[in-house]
Amino acid sequence: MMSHVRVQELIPLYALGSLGDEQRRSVELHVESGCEACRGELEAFENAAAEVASVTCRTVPPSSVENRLKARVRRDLAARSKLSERRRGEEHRRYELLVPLYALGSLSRSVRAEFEAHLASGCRRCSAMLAEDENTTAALASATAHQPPRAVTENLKARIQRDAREAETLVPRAGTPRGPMTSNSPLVGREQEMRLLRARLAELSKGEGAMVSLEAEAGLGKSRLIQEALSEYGAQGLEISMGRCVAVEGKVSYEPFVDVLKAWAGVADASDARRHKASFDAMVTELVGEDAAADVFPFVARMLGWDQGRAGTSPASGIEGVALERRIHEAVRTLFAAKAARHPLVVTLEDLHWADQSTIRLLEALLPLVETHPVLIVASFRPGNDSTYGRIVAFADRAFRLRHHRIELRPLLRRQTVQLARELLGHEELPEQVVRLVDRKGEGNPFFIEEIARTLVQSGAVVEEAGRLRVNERLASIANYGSVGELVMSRVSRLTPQARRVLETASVMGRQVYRRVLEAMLGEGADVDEVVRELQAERFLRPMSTRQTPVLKVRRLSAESGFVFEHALTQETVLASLAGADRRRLHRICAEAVESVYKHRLQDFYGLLAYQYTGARCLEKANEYLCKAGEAAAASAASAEALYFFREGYRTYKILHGSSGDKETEARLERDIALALLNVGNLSECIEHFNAAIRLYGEPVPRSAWSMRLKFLRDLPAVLAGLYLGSFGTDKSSCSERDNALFELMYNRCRAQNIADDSRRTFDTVAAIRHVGHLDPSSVENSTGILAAAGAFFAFSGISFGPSRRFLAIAEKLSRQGGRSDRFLYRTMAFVVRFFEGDWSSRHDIAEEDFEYGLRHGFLWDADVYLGMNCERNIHQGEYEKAELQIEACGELCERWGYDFARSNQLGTRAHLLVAQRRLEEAREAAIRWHEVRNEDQIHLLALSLLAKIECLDHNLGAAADALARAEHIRSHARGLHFPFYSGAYLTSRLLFRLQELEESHRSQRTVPVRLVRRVRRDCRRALASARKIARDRTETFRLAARLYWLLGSRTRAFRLWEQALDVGGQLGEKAELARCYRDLWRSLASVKTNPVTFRGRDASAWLERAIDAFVQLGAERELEEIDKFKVEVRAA
Amino acid sequence: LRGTAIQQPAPPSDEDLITAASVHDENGVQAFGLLYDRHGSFVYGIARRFLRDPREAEDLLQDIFVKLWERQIRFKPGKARFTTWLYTVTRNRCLDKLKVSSRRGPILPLPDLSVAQGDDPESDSYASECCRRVCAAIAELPESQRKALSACAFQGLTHEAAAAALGIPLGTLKSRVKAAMSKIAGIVAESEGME
Repeated sequence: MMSHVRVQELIPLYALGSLGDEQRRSVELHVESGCEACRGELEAFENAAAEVASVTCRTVPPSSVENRLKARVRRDLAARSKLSERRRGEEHRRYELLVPLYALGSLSRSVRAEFEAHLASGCRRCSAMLAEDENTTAALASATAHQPPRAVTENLKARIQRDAREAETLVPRAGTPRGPMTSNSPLVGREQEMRLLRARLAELSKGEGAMVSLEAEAGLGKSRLIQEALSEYGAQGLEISMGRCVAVEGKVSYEPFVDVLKAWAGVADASDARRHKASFDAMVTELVGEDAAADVFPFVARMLGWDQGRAGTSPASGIEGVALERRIHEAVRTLFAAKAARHPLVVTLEDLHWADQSTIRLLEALLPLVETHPVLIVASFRPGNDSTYGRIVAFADRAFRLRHHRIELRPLLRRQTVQLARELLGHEELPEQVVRLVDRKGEGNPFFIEEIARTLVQSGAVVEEAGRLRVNERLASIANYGSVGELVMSRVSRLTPQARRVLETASVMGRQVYRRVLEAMLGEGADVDEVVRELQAERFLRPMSTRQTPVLKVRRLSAESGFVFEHALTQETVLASLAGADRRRLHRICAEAVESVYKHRLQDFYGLLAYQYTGARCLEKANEYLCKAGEAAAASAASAEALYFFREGYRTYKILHGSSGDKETEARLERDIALALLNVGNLSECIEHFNAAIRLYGEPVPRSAWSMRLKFLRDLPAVLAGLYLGSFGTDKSSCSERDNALFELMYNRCRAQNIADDSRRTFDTVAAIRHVGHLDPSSVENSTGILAAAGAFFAFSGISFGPSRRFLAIAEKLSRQGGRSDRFLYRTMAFVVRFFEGDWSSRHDIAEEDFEYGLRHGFLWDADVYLGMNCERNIHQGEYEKAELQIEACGELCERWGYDFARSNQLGTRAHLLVAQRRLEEAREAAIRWHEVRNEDQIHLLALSLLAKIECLDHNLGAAADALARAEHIRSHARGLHFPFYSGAYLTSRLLFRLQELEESHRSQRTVPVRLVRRVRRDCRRALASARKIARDRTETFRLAARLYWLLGSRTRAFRLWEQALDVGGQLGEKAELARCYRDLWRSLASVKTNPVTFRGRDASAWLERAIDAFVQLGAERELEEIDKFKVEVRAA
Repeated sequence: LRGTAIQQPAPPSDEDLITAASVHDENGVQAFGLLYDRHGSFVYGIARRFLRDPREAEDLLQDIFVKLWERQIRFKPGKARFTTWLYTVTRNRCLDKLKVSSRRGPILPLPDLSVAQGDDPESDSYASECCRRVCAAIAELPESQRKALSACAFQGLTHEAAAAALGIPLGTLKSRVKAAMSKIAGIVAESEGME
C-alpha cells in the first residue's frame, strides 16, 4: 500500500481528477483504510475542487437534454402511478369478490373483520354492491320454495341492463365517426422527407448507392415514412430487405444481418440446423460461385454460430478475435456486393439504437458499398445513442459525406396536428375541445395523436350527429389522462379478457412475437387466430408480413412467422404495466416455450433464453444460457456481446453461490471475461481478470513490487535450469488440465501486458515461461509459438542471446511436427531474435504466402512485429522501395484487418524512412504524428528519441535538448522501458546530441568543459553497452562513439570503434551507415595537418572518395551537400 | 406595514430538494427540475472539460440525473455538501469513461474568470460569496500555480502528462497544485465557517 506521505502528496491531484487508475485506487485504499488525516484533507480538497469547477466549468447544456430528462421523469412517474393504481385496483377487486360471500355469511372471522375494516374505510362501491347483494340474498332466501319475488327479477334485470350499457360503449355504434382503427392513418407533414427518400430511390434505380439516416424520437413516424416511401416508389426491379433490432437485453450478435441472410437463403422457421446450413450453402454458392463460396461460407457459418471453429480444416477454424470479425465482414460484404450486382438493393434497418456492437461494426464495414454498388441503406434510430447508431452517423459523415443523407423528423406543427386529427376522425371540422385536447396531449407526435383519436372514438367521447362531430361528458375523463401510456392502457383495458391476456403474454417476448412460441405459451385450446384478429383490428399487432405489397419484391428479414407490435411504445407500455409476479411468470413460460419449440436449434436463442430466465428470476437456467450465449458470441467474434453475457453470467453465479461456489467454475468465468476484454482492447481491466482467474486456480499473483521481484528471483533460475537441463519441450504424461488452463491464462495475460503493463511484463513473462516447463507441448495449443516467443523475450529483454537460441531450437523441432501456423509463429519469432542478434540475411524472411496465411489465421500481433522489424532492417540496408511496401502493408494491417496497433508501426517506420533519407521536414511531422497516435509510454519514448535525432540532424540543438528531456522524463517515470529496443533508440539520439555539442565547441574553438567531457564518456559507455544487445543501433553507435572519442583526443579508442563500425555495418549491409563512417573517417583524418594519419592503409582523400561513391549510389543528395559544407570547414581548419 | 422589509422566502436548499425529489410525486418532479436547473450546467461543464466531447457530456449529464431520480445513486445529507458530492460523482464517471477510451487531448486553459459567477438570484448568499472569493483567489494565484492548476484540473490528463506538457518536473507540479488548492480550500472552509 502507498505510504501516508505519498498519499498526502497526491490528494490535491486526486481531487482534481488528475491521477492514473492505479494511483487513484491507492489513494482510495489508503483513505478507506481509516486514515483520518487524509480523509479530512481529501474532503477539504474535494470541496475546493468542486468550487473551482463551479466557477470555471459551468456550461449551459442543450435544451434537448432537459427535454429528454423531463420526458423520462414524467414517463417514470406515470408508470409508477399506474402501478400503484393497479395495485389498489387489484386489492379492491379482491374485496369485490368478497362481497357476495360476506352477504351469504360464508367468510371466516378474520377475513370478515378485514372486509368490515375496508367498508369502514369508506369504500362506496363495495357498500353499494353489498346493499344490492344483501337485497338479492334476502330475496333468494325467501324464494327457496316460492316464485321469485319481483325484487329479484328487477334487480337482475337492472344488472343485465347495466352490463349491456357498459358493453355498448366498447363497440363502435352507428353514428361513431370513421376512426383510425379501420384504416391506415394518413401521413401528414412529411412531404420534404418523402421527396428526399424518393430521390434516393430514383438514383438507386440508376445505379447510385447512398445511405440515409432517419433520426427521430419514438412515435414520430420513422417506420411509417420508410414504408410509405417504398410503397409509393413502386416496382423498379429493386430488391428490398427490411430488418429491425429488438430491445431485448440478451441480444443476438449481428441480429438484423443474420435475419437478412436467413431471408435470402429462404430458411423456414420449422426447419432444423442441418437444413439451415444446406440452404445457406446453396444461397452463398448461387450468389458468389462455387470457388468463392469456399472462402465465404465458412465465415458466414461462424457468424451464425454454427462452427465453433477452434480446430479443423475449415478456412475459418483457428481464427479468433478481431481477425475473425474482419473475415466475417469481408464475407458478408462479398454477399451484399453480389446481391446488388443482380438488382439494386435497398436494406432498411429499423431501431438501430438497440443494435448490438457487432451489428454496428458490420454496418460500418458494409458502408463503403454505397460508393461502389447500387446499395441504398436506410437506417432509422432514436437520438441519444452515441455508442450504437451515433457512431455510424459520425463515420458516414466523415467517410461518405456526399452519399450520406440525414433526415431528422420533428414533432408536427399545430396545423399539421389538427390536419392529422381531421384525417383520423374523418371530419373537416373538429369541435374546439377536441382540437385543444389533441394539440395539448398529442405533443406533435403522430403516434400519440392516433392513440388519442382512437380513444376518443372507442370511448364514445366523440360521436357523429347530423354529419357533425359532437363531444360529450366523457371527453373530460380522457383529458385527465397524464400520458399516452395511460391512454394505451385504457384501450388495453377495453379489450376482451382473452385478447388482454394474449397481448400481455406477447409483450414479454419483445416487439417481435414468434407465433409458435406464443401458441406454446398460451397452451392448448387457445384460439390465437381469433384473438389476434381482434388485436389487429384494434391496431395493437400486425402480422410480420403486412409490409409485403404486390408491386414490390419485398422480403422481410426475419424468416420466422409471427406478429409485430404496431409500435414499440405499445409493447413497452403493456410490459411495464405487468405486475412483478405476473411478469416473472410470463418470462418463465416464454423461456420454456422457446426451449420446447426451438429445441433443435437452441443456439439461435441463447441470448433470448438468458434474458427470459433472468426476467423469471430462474438464476440457474439464466446462468447456463448466459454462459452459452457468451460462448456463441465469442465464437462469432462479437466480443462486446460476449463480454456482456459473461459478466452477467458471473454475476448470476455469484448471486446463486456466494462465496461457496466452485473455484474452477469461477476461474473459467473470470477467464472468459478476461478474454472478451482482451478482444475488445480493454487491456488494463483484462489483466485484473486474468490475475483473479490465476488466483482462483491457486497460483499466487504477487501484489507488491517486492514480492514480485522475489518471485522473479525464483522463476528466472528455474527457467534457465529447465532450459539447460532439457525439461522444456519434452513429453510429460503428468501434465494436468489445470496446468494447461493456468498456462493459457498466463500466456494471454502476457499478451495484454506487452502493451498495457510495463511494470509487471518482465516478471510475469518469466513466470509464464517457467510454467511452460511443466507442460506437455502436444497438449497445449500454440506450444511452438509460445516457446519461440520465450526465445524472443530473452533477446528483446536484453538478458542474453544464449537462452533465446535454445528456446528457438526447441521451437523449431516442434514446428517440424506441427502445422503451418506453428511454422509461421516459429519463423516470426526467429526473425525477431536474428534482428536483435544481427543476422540480417534474407534467408530468415517469411515467404509472402506464409505471411498471408498468418494474417488470415489471426496472428496479427506477430505479423505486425515482423513487418516493423523487417521494414527497419530494409531502411538500414538502404532498401527504401522494399521498406515502402512494408509500410503500406502496416497500413493494410490496420485498415483491412482492423489491427489498430499497426497504425503506430506504420507511422514509426515512415518517420524512420524519412530520417534515413534525410527528408527532415517531413520526418519531423511524421515523428510528431507517431507520438500522438497512441498513449503508451514506449511509443512516446521511441517517437521523442527519433524527434531528438531529427532536430540534431537539422542542427536545432535547443529543440533536440527539449525532446531528449521529455524522453528522459518518460524513461525515469515509466517502468519497463529499460529494454534495449526502447532505451537503445534514446541513447543513440543522446549520443548524437553530445557529438553535436562537442563539434559546436570545436567549431567555436572554445575549451570543452570538463563536465561535458564526463557526460560524453558516460553516455558513450551506456550507448555502447545497449548497442551490443540490439544490432539495429550497433553501427551508428560505434560510429558516433568513434567520432566523439576522436574529438576528445582518444585516437586509439576511436580507431577501434571505427573498426567495429565498419565490420558490423558490413555484416548487416548497412550501406548508409557505412557511407557515414567513411565520411567521418575523412573528416577526422583530414583534420590532422601534420603527420597525416591513415586508417586501414587509406588516407583522408581515399575515405572521402569512398563516402562520395556510397552516397551517390544511395542517391543521398543531402548528405552530399553536407560533405561540401564539411570540405569548407576542413579547409578552414 | 410601512417600513417593513418584504421578506422573500428563502430558496430551498439542495438537501431539501433532494429529500423532496426522493418522493416520486408531482412535488418531487418539481424539486428534481429545480435541482437540474441549479446543477445541470455544473455537471455538463465538468463533463465537457473532462471528456472533450459535447455528445458524451450530454449523455453523462442525462445518465447522472436519471440515476439520481431513480435513486441508483444517493446523496446522504450531512456527510458532504451536495455540490461536492455531485462533483465527485461526475469526476469519477468521467475518469471511468476516459479509462475505457483512454483518450487524451491538449491542455485546456481555465476559462476566463472575469465573468463573475454566483449572480444567480436563486443561489444563496453563502454560495455567491464563496464563488466570488474563489474567483478572486484563482485570479490572484501566481501565474505558475494557475498554469499548474489549469493543467491538472478536470482535464482527464494524468499529472505526469500534465508535467510533461508544461515541461516542469513532477515534484514542482505537485507542489504548485497543492499550494493553489490549499489556498482555495482555505477560502472554502472559511466561507463555510461564516455560514
